[in-house]
Amino acid sequence: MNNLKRYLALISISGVLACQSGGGAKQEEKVFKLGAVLPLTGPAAAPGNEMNNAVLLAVDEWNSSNKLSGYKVTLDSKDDAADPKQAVSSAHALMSDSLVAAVVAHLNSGCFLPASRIYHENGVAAMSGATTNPEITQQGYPEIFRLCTTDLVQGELTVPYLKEAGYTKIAIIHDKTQYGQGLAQVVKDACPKSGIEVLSFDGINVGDKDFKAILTKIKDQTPDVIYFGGMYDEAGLIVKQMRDLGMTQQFVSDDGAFGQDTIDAGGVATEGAMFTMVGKPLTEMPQVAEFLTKYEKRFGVKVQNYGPYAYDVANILLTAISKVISRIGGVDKAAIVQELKQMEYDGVVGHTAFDEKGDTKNKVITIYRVQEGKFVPLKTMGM
Amino acid sequence: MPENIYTIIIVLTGFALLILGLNIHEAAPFLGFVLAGAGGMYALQRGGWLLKAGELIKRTRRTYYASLALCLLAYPLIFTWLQSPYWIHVATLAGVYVCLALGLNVVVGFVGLLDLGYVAFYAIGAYSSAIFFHHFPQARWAFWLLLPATALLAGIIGLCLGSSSLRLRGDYLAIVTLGFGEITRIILTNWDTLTNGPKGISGIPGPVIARYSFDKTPGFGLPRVANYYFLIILLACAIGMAADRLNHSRIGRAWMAIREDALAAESLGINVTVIKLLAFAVGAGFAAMGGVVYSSLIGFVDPMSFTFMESAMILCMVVLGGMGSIPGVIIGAIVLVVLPEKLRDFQQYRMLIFGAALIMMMIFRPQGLIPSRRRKQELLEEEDESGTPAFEHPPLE
Repeated sequence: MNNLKRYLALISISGVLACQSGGGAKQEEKVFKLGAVLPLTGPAAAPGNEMNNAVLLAVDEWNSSNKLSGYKVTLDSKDDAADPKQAVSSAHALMSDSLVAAVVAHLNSGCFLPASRIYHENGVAAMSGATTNPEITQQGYPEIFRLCTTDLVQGELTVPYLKEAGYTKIAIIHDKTQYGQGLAQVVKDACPKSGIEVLSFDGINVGDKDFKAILTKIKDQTPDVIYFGGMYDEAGLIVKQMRDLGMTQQFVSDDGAFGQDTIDAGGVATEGAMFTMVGKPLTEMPQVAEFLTKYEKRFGVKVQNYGPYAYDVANILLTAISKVISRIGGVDKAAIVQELKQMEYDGVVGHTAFDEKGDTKNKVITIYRVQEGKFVPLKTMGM
Repeated sequence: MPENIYTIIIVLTGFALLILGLNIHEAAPFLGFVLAGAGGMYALQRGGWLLKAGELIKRTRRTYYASLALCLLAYPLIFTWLQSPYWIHVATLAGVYVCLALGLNVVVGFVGLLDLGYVAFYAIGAYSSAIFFHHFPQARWAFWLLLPATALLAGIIGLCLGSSSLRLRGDYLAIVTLGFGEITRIILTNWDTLTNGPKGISGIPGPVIARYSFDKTPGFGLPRVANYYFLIILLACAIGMAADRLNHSRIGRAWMAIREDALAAESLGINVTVIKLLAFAVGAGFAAMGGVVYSSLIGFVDPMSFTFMESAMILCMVVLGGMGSIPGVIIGAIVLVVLPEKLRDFQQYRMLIFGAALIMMMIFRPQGLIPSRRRKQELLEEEDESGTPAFEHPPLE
């Protein structure tokens, strides 16, 4: 017990010297906050920071636009480090702040699933631009919205396209993550319907560098197409090692691998590989070019993947909030949720409206093929 | 009697400063607060005030515990009043880690066996409860059965692991336990039919006790999470008391003897294998109970929550707090949960500052925040002999 006193003494003294913190009186300023919980550190930090930057861009534009009837919005970003536990903590942290009017929610489905309950309990609208697990909106929380199409849509649209392109035997690889395996499973389940034979369904580990063992096995099965559910590093290496082994099959992967990083990792071997990405091709939409230039000018780097989605999420939320403000003269969280339900918005990623579950009605994906180190859109498909 | 009043004043001051510290929202003042605290504590120690306060508390133990209990009770009410239920959630999470750190302390602190795969038992607890509720979502009362049942299950698995690996010592045991932790995670990832694979299991319900559901507010304006707060406080107290009792029992003496010299202990008639296995099983059981509460608190489990980093973190809590010291380990766990949350204001520098703080601790206070008396003595002796502080036990390099 000799020990406990030290701790007590420590906290006793420390406060005396830190009295300056007694928070100033709250002023009656017209402010509210837009929350954001994204992986700013950890394994998904790259896309997480891109989304955060895009949200920041949107917030700054709204502040300088004067469309908020005298209100000012500040961005309150929290880090979930792609970890469910931290996601829940961050959600609690934002919900403890009564100024937070709406939340730009997580990149990872594993984070949004447990955190969505916290938003629901507090009646605060949370919209994600990147989580694709169908379960999230199946929970029936009215506050939860999602701008991207689910794995279900992406997987089920990919398979008929493959059939149409004349492939009949598929080998599926996934990275055992919630996202990669989830998507691969949808593809696997959809194949029999289209008459494609699934030869194998194998998992690899994120961070592995050598996939030759599994590829050699697949080579013997002679599929005519190989599907990979996972992220860019592994996608690039798999396609590279396929070509090294003399496998000439078509390689198809998903939105997690849709990015310059895949081409960087795979080099020339990625030529001809196909990738699906949610939404229409960004080049077909004039607003996108404007966004891309603005982003590059502000942050000095190019947009890789989910930046446009985060930008739209922030804009949709702020549009809803601004409508509520002009209607009732203040920020009301329940009114914001109602406003979002009937929202029709034309943004960077296209026209958005939400179905009764909170998913976007804009269920469109695009297939891209790599040509000369660039992603060239082949076909846009919708449900 | 005035002594009792002094004790109450000490506890209440400490508590008030804790609340104040948690409410500092700016990054720089908080850092100042922490540095001032460290400086103040050093000054107090220099002036001999810490020693005096410690003796005072020892003399007025009942008052001390009563006022601590009062503070723990007041904590959620205060943060509800401050409209900051976030800190109630963080305190609950800290409680889960207190259970885990107390369990690992039995293995690492009391017996001196380095276990790097401790998270496996935590995962077994969390997943057992998640899988059960996935199949029987209506049987929410079963939570109270699951608590002891998973502890038993984890204890048995701990025995199996221990019986096969305890003939190894030091680093070699550490490597085997590390492997065990990874095997557990990989099984959770790949046994899709049972664990739903990497997608994890969501929608784990809260427990129910006599028609009182943990999904509802307990009244007084308290948020839902306050239920778990009180539950985890009770559980952590029970585990802390159990660990303390064990430590002061014959078994605890045997653990200590084995830690100091296994050969000598055996020659004195201690059955080293059985006693070591017991420590493994007890530690595993504590972790599993923490896991059960965790899965209901978060409502979601996936294999990525039980990586080696988690094991390392729990070990950090034990080492930071002071190996073998129960109050030390409790404080260590609380600090290592609260600090990263508090450092959120630093955004991307969060983990950098966190790591720097740990390194500073290792330089300036290698024995831990509140070292066990015995270990403090050991470190002092070693310093006297060689002139530099030695830290060879357990082998961490």
